[in-house]
Amino acid sequence: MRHVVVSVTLCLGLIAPAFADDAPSAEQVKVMAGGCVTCHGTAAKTTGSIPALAGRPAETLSSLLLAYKREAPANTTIMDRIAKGFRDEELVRLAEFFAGLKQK
Amino acid sequence: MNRRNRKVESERPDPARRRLLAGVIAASALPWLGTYARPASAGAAGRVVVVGGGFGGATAARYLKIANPALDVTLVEPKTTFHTCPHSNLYLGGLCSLSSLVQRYDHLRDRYGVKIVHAAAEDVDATAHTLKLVGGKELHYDRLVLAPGIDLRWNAIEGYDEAAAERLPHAWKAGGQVEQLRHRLESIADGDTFVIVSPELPFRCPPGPYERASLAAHYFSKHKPKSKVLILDAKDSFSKKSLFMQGWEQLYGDRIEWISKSAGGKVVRVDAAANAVELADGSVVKAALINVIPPQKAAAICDRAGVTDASGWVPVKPQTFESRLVKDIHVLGDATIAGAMPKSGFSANAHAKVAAVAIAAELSGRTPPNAHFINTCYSLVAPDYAISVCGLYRVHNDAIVEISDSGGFSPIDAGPEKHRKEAEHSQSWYAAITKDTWA
Repeated sequence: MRHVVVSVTLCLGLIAPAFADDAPSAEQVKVMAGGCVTCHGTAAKTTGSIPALAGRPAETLSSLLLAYKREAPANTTIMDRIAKGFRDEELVRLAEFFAGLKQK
Repeated sequence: MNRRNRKVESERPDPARRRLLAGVIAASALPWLGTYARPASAGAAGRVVVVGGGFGGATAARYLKIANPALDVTLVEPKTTFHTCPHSNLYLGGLCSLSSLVQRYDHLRDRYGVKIVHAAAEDVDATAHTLKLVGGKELHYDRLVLAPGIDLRWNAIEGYDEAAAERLPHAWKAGGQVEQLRHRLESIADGDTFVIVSPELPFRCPPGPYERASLAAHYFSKHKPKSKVLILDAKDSFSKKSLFMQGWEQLYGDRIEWISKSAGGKVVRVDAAANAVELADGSVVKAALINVIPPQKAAAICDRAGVTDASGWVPVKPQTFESRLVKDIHVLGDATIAGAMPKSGFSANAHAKVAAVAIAAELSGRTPPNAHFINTCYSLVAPDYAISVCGLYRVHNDAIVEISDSGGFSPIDAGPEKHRKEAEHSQSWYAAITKDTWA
């Protein structure tokens, strides 16, 4: 049985010019996570080579994501290219989001 | 490019939504879904009709119900099963069965409460907010989502019409045409040439013709060692060209030949009865099997809805995918002009998630969040050799633009181990996106 998912339930605010340091809102993190789950799914186990994210420690995920962004670890195929498209804070929030998805 | 120019500044959650959000983090997903699947008051929050059960439409229906289970969501799709275009080239190369490409709608209905109507959409009355189905039935909508994919532009290449496609298959819509092309590939003689006619941009799945050439060459290398693949192109470049060419040279030598537009490769006329195509300089290429991938446009229902522009495609607002031409009609996927995003199943799935969130928000009187998109595309050069391109996109100045210094191609010096890993990821991606869309 497939797990759900990024809730795309929203609570929304005004879209306005903002400072670069602003933390992404919970809704914004979910929108960004929508792109992750297309490959990684939302369950704690995947059947293929792309690792699952749900329920993994936030620190593990965020340190991996930040390393992909900065160092392009030797074992990466695509995540270095993807991580570079996010601000550090967004990667940390995405890590927290997936850490918070319930493990099966 | 400044991608930080717009941010959500404040949140105004109502208490019920706050509980829901907490539920996503804290509770098991299954009970959470269970309360959602069969809402007693479906429809009170708004009626959304989705046309098209592919990557765009099915994802939209699913994520609309996740966003707000009280929405009345109807998915209109004539076929009871769906064959994916992604991985159709693997089937053509003999790497998987046709049945492995089949997706169904049971989960959308049973788990999410989407109403499935197996009928073809015929017409849209945007003023009355109704979708007319073939057979006369009408569905009323508050928001209409069109995700109908492409139509082929018959006779855009002279002589290439529906009848010609029976002899010279396009196989650019999945299912029967792809099956026919596979049978023809199997039946040609060793030493025969397989010609692929590739169109100018924009078209569905820009790397597709070249993955097709790759996997046909792979099949020939195993079963028809004297056969070759000839690509006649209306362009001077193509998606992942350097990576494809590197792989072809390593794996297939001169088994694949690519003729660019500048080199005379553009096909201007088709003679189906003679199994022949004519090039711009008047020369004629005859072959045992010719696959013509013709120019394309947004599917006809978009014309009926009045959302198509003079280009043949559909301009949309990038934060919501609402048509720029007709209010309350959202259009997703290959039919759209989506800025920097290519026409792919991944893109359609990404459009759908953004649009579903936006529609659910707007129907509740709220402003949608900022859009964010990823597109990733793996192409197989051989069963254990894949190459990839990915892009990340945000909205800037009312357009979908690629986020600078991110995304891009597999490195040209990736080496066999990474190409093998990307081939595994291609399989894993297919399993994940089909679940994200239909399950």
